Formats: sequence, structure tokens, C-alpha cells
Amino acid sequence: MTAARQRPGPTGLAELGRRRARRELVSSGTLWWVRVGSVLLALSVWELVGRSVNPLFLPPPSRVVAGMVESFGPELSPAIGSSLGTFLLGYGLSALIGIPVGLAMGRSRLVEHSLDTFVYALYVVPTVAFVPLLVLWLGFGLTAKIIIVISVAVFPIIINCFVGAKEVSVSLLEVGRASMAGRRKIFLSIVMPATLPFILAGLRLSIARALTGMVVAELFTAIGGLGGLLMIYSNQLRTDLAFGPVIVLMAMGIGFTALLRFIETRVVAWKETERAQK
Amino acid sequence: MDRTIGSRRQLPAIVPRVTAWLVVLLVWQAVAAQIDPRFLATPTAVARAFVELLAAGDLHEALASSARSLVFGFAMAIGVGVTVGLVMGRYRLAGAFLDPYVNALFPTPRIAFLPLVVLWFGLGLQAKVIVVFMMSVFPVLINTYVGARDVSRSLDEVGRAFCAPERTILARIFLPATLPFITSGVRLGLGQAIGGMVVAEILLAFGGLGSLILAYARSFRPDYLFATILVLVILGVGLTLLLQLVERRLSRWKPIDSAVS
Repeated sequence: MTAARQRPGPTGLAELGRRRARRELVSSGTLWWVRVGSVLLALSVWELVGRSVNPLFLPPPSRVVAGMVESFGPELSPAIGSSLGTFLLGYGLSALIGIPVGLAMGRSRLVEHSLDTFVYALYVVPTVAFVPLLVLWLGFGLTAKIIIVISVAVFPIIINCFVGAKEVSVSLLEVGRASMAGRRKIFLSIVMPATLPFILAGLRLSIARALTGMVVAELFTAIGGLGGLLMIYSNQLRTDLAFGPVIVLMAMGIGFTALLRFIETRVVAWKETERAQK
Repeated sequence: MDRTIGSRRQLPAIVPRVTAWLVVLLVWQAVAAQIDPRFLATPTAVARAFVELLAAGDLHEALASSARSLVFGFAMAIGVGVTVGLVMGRYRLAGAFLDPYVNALFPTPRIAFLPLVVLWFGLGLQAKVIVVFMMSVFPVLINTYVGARDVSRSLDEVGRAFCAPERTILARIFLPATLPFITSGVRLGLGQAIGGMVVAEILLAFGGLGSLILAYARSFRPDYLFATILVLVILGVGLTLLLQLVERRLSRWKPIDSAVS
């Protein structure tokens, strides 16, 4: 896009022709309006339909919002706090475990071959199957929930770090070797920065998994957190209140992912220049 | 590819792999033998339970129930995901109309909708199929969408240069080129589908392998529990291999340079 703008000379008809060839019959500005319109349309339809059917089935957005406000103080905020705690601890530990393991696997053939069958085996197993066992061992408390989160979230991190560390450009490594840099220096100054995009990608991919693990753990134990609240509200048939935790979870998912994408763009911008120079 | 400074003789890969497995199994056996068998089963106990499980009747019924919801839910996810993804990728207006929902729902832990699904659809096969569907439709859809969008951009010019009508572009250029994206999306979706199926069965205790797992946990039979998980793993691996076979057959036409993907 920027390249086109920098090109000198008349762009009128030529640009139009190019746009037609690229099927850009509709400008990107219009597309934004389509998006906004779509959401507004959906909300209105939801509101209308919700008013006419049994409120047990589909409460309209107005009811949902009212319900959220009503339950916010006493029930929703402590649940949010509890869930956030579980999520951050579980996700943080997954990163703390996953990144070093993945990097070690990427740099050392021995570590790679020792661990790779386990990593891939556990990645393939739906680790949610271990939930009843973990609760059997650890009870219904925070520890069990955190371990469940780690068991689902750590593997994408390990695998992405592993792939990233393994694929470090050979030319960069040769520069390191030619400069007589020690193993440690090579690791810190070449491998780590080069792997950063992969690390971030792995972290981003495991957000949804970590959240899912957290929700599953909370739904299963039906105690505390947004999942527990969800269970309680649905058992009470308070559908209007039940939407509240769902919306909060959606916001958490979107929020954390957006945060990570933002960090990623910061890093990838740098990385792209390096790639262009190869 | 030598990634170490200085030369070092490389061990064949199989040695650390086998050693690691032997170590794990031995340690597991030793530790589990000391612990109350109601909480942790030894590998030998699991193996025994696995054989008994295959012979007995419980497993087949559960497997059939799981397979039913998995197949229906995943098939629906593929159908909807691929169709919508292709339409969204090909026609920018459709893409813009639908992508707020896709972008909002993809990072959401969709399992959070489970209680609502039960509220709406009751506790039956229908609910399980819907759960499998909602867990697996998005990887399929998004991969197809992104692939279709990229393909549209680059191959459209080719089609137009040859003055091909829309229908021809769709059939001869668009669909074959999006196939690799579709298959990778389907592969990712399978893992989610199986996960969704297991979660639904564990939480709803309605038939299938998941409810077996729950029952074995509750009756303190970890050996049967692990054996059931083993069955699950075999199911997952089997289906993945099947998908890879299909993928290979469909990609026969693929050109030598896959610059498009």
C-alpha cells in the first residue's frame, strides 16, 4: 500500500485498473461500514427476537446487560478475579515451563529426541480427559485448576519455541561462530532474538487453550470463577445472567489475544527487515 | 545441520527416544507400585486393563456413542466451515459482513457456551453434536477463509487475463488452490473436535468414552481410566492418519513450486 503511494506520476486510471484487477470494487473504508452494520443488525435482530420468545431461551441484549450490571458487584467481579487469577497463574507457569523446554529442544538434538515423542503424544491427547483424575488427586482447589490449565496450554508454547529455535538462520549462526562468540553469547544474542516471533506466536496460540482449560476446570468443579458462576446460573435457569460470564470470557479472549498481537507486530516489524536482508 | 560449535558425533535419534520412554516407564512402574492403586495405576496394570477393556462390552458401546457425535459434529463443522470460509474469502463483502463474529468467537473459549447449549438442546446426542461442531468449526473456517482470501488475490488476475467467467475461475482455479488450506484447517479442527467431544461427555456424563473416564475416576479405577485414554489416543491418531491419507490423495495435482501457499 505504501509503495503505491510513493510511486510518482499519474495514478488515476492506472490505479483504478489495478484495483479492478484485484477485485477491489469496494474500498476498504466501505468494508468497515459493512462490519459495523452487520454487528448493529445482529444486535437489533437479537433484541427483537429476544423480546418475543421465552426469556428462558434467548434473553435480549437489554436483559443481558441489565443482568450483568445487577450481578456485577456481588457475584461477577469476584468470579472475574478468581478466573483471572487461575488464568494468569496457569498461563504464566505454562510460559515459564514451555519456553525453556522448547528452546532447549530446538538447540540440542539430544534434548529434542528425548522429549519429542512425549511432547507430540501429549499434544495430541485431549488433556481434558485427565480432568477427573487430576481432581481425584488434587481436590477441587486452585492447584488442580492451574495444573489443568498448564496441561492444555504448555504444548503449543513448547512446540512453537522448538520450531523457532531449530530454524534459526544458519547464516546468522555462522556470523556468531566466525566472531568467535562463546556458546552462551550466541544463544543470547542470536538465537533468542531470532526465535522471539515464534515464542510470541506460541504464546498467542495458547491463550485460547489456557482459557478453555480454565473454563473446563471451573465447569467441572462448579466452584468459583466464571465457569462456576456459569454452572450456577444455568442450573437456576437464569439464562439472562448466564450470558454475563460468557461475554466476560469472550472479552478476555479477545483482549489477551489483541495484546499479544500488538506485541507481536512490534517484534515482527524488526524481523521482517532481517528477512529482507537475507 | 550442525548447530553446535565444534564437532560432536551425533547419536541416532532412536537412542534417546527409546531410552526416554524406558526411563519414564520404569520410574512410573516403580512409583506407582508404592502408591495406593486406587489413585495411580502401574503401566502393567494399565496394559492389563486395556486388554480387558477391548474384550468386554462397555467399550464398544461407548466408542460407538463417541464416534457418532464426533462424526456428525465434525462433518457439520467441515461443511459449514469450508463453505462459509470460501464465500468469505472470495467475496469481500461477505467477508466483511461475517468477520466480526469470526474474530470475536475464535479467541473465545467456546466451551463456555456448553451450559447454554444444554439449556437449549437438552442432554442428548444433539447437544453433544453441537458442542463438537462449535469447537471444531472455527479452525476449519479460519484456515479456509485466510487461504481463500490469499488465493483470490493472486489467482484472480490470472483468471481475468484469460477472460474466464466466474464459474470457471471458481472451479478450475479457486477451489484446487484453496485445498491445502482447507486440509490444514480440517486437521487442526479434528483435534478440537475430539477435545470438544471428550469435554462434553465428561461434563454431561452422557455416554461415550468421556463418561467412561468419569465413571472410572469416580470408582477409583485409574488403570481402566488410563486404558480408556489410550483408546482415545488411538482413535485420534487413527483419524489423523486417515485425514493425512485423504490430504495426500487430494493434493496429487499440486505443482512443484508451492509458491501460492
